[in-house]
Amino acid sequence: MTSKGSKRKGAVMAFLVGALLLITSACSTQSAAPAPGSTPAQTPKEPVRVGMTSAITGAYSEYGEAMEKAISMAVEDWNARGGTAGGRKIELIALDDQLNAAKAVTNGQRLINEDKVHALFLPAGSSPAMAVLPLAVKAGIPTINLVATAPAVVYPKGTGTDPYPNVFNFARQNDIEAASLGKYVGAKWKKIGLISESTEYGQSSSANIKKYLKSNYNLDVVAHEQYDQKSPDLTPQIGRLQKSGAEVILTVALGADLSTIRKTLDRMGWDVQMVGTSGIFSVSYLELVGELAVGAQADILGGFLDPNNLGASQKAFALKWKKKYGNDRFYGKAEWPVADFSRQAETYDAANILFAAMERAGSTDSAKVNAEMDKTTKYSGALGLEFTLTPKVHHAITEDSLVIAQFVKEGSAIVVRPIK
Amino acid sequence: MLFAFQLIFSGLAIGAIYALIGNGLNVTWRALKVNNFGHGSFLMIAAMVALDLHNRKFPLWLALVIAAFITVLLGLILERVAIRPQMKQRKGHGWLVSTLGAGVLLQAIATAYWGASALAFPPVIFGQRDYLMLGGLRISLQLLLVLVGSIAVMVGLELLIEKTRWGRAMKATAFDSELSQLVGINAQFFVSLSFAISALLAAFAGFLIAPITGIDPGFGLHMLLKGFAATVIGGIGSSKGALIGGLLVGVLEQLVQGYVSNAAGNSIGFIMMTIILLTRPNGMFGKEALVKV
Repeated sequence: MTSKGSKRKGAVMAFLVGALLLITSACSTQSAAPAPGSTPAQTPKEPVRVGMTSAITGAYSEYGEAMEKAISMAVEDWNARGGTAGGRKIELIALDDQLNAAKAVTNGQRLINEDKVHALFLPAGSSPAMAVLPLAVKAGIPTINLVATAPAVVYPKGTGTDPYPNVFNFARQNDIEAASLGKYVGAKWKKIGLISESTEYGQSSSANIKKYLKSNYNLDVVAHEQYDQKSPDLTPQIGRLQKSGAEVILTVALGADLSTIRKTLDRMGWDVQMVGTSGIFSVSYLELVGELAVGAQADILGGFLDPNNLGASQKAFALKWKKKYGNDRFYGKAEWPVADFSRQAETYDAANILFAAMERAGSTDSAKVNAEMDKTTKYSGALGLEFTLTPKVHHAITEDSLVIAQFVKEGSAIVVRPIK
Repeated sequence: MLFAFQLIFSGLAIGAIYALIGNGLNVTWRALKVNNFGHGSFLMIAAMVALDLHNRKFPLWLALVIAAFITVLLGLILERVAIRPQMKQRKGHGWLVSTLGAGVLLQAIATAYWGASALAFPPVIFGQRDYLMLGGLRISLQLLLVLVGSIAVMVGLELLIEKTRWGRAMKATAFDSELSQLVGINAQFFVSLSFAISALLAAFAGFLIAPITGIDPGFGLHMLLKGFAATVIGGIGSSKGALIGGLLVGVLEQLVQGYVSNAAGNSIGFIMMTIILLTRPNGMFGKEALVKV
C-alpha cells in the first residue's frame, strides 16, 4: 500500500513539475517572440515611475485632484517630447489617501517598495506628509512637498539648518508666511493685535509672527487672544483686542472661525483692518461672510492675481489647462483663472523641475537627480516666479514669492487683487 | 460697562441655544429615561438638508419645513432601530452607545456627501448686518432671534406638555408606562412622539444658529456637549432647569472668557457641571427620581 501510494505521489509530482515547466517555457516563448510584422527590437527602456499619494477623493479632494491634474500635464508634455532621463517615458502612479495619515503611509510603502518609484510627491496636509516622510528619507529618492506647511518636512532642525538631501519644498512654509505677514504689518502699524486658534497650527504660526516682529521691528503685540475652534461667537476675544488699543488685527485662523472673527467685529461695530494668513482667501471664507470679506488682507502666491495683466507663461499654462480640463473648480468660471490657480502652476513647475533634473542627470539614480535638483537656478515656468534650490536651501517659495493682497469689489463680484 | 453688556447679550443668545438643545435631550429623558446623544448630529443634519434643498432652488421656508420633517423621521427611525431593542432588556445603558453611534454615523454620511468644510447658511428672517441700536450697544437681530425664538419654542413645548391631554398622557407614560397602558394610553405612541418632538427641537436649534456660524458635519457635537452640561446643571428632565442652566452657562462662558481667559471660559460649563453633580446631583431644579420597588 505504502509503496503504491508513494509511487502515485511521485507520479503526481512529476506531472506537476512538468506542467509548470511547460507553462513557464510557453510564457517565456511568448514574451520573447517578436510581434508579428515587427523587426526584432531592443528591450524597451524602463519607464520613469513617479508616485504620488494625496487626498484625491473625500472632503479634501481639492488638494489631490489638483495635484494629479497638474503633474499629469507635465508628464504628458515630457512624454510628447520623448521622455526624460535619456529618452525614457514617464509614468505617474497616483494613489488616494483622503488626507488620512495611516492610508498615506500604506500608499507610500506600496509606491516605494512595490512600484519602486524613482521620485515621490508627498501628500497634502502636515500630518500625512510627516507620516510618509521617514519612508521617503530612508529610500533617498527625490521627494517633493507641495502643500504641507511645517518647515520640519524639509529641515529636521529648522529652517537655516541642513535639509534632508532628497526632500524639496514647494509649499509655503509657515515661518516664511510669518515673515511675509510680519514684514507687512510691522512696517505699517505699531499697535498690533493677534488672534489665533488654540491649535498647534495657531500656536506655532503666532510664535513665528511674534518672533519676527520682535527681532525685526522690536515690537511686541499689544494683545494675543486665542479661541477654541468652532466657537459660535468671539465677543470676549475681540473685546479684549479692542481694549488693548490695537490698530490692526492679525488673524491665524481658518474657514468658519475666520468668518466668526469677521462677523463678531461687525457685531461690535469695530471697523479695524484685518490682516491674516492665507486662509482668508479660501473659498469657504468668502462664502460664509459675503460682502464683509471686502477689505481683508492676506498673503498669497503671486502669479495669477491680476487677470488683465497675465504674463505670457501664465497665459500659456492657463490656456493649456482650460483646453485639457475646461473651466473646472480650480480654474473658475471666467475667461482667465482665479488667483488661487497659482497653486496649480506651482505644482506643474515643481514637476517640470524634477523631470529636468532627471534629464540633466541622464538617469534616475537618486544621488545624481538630487544633485541636479540642487543646481536649479532661477527656474521660471508657468507661475512666472523664479525658483532656486541649492544643497543648503531646499525651499523654493521664499518671502519674495508671496505678496499681500486684499478682497475688493469689482462690479458685483468680490475678487482678490494685489494692494497698490 | 459696554463690554460687559456685549458679553452678557451674546452669552444669553448662545445660552438659549444650549437651553434648546438641553430641552431636546430632556423630552426623551422624561418619556423613557433616555438621552439621545446623537442629538447634535440631528441639529447638523437638519441644517445641512435645508441648505441642500435651498441650493436646489427650493424657497427657504419650504426647505426648512421639509428638512424639519426629514429630521423628525430620522428621530422616529432612531427610536425604532437604536432605542426600542435596547429597552426590551430594561437594564443597562445600551442606548448611550447606540444613540452616540447613530450621531457618528450621521456625521460620517454628512462628511461624505457635503464635505468637511463649513458651508454658509442663508439668513433666516434677519441678515448678518441687521442691528438694533440700544444706547451704545449694537444688538444683532440674528442673535436676538436666537434668544427670543429659543425661549418661545421652549415655552410652547412646556404649555403643550402641561396644558393638553396629550401632554398629560406623555407625562403619565413617563411616570409608569405599564399603568398608563391599563388606563388606555398607547405608551409606545407617546414614546415615539417624544423622539419626534426632540428631533424637531434639534431642527429648530440648527435653523437658528446655522445662519450665524455656518454649518459643518462636526458642528452639532460641540453644541451638544454644552447643551448636556446645561441640562445637568439645571436638573435633568426639567424644562425650567434646562433654560436657566443654558443661559447661565452661556453668559458665564462669555464673561469668564472676556475677563479671565479663553481656556477658563471654555471649561466653566463643565466645572459647574462637576460642582453641581457633587453637591446637588439632581441639578438646580431637578426632582429626586422616584424609584419603584
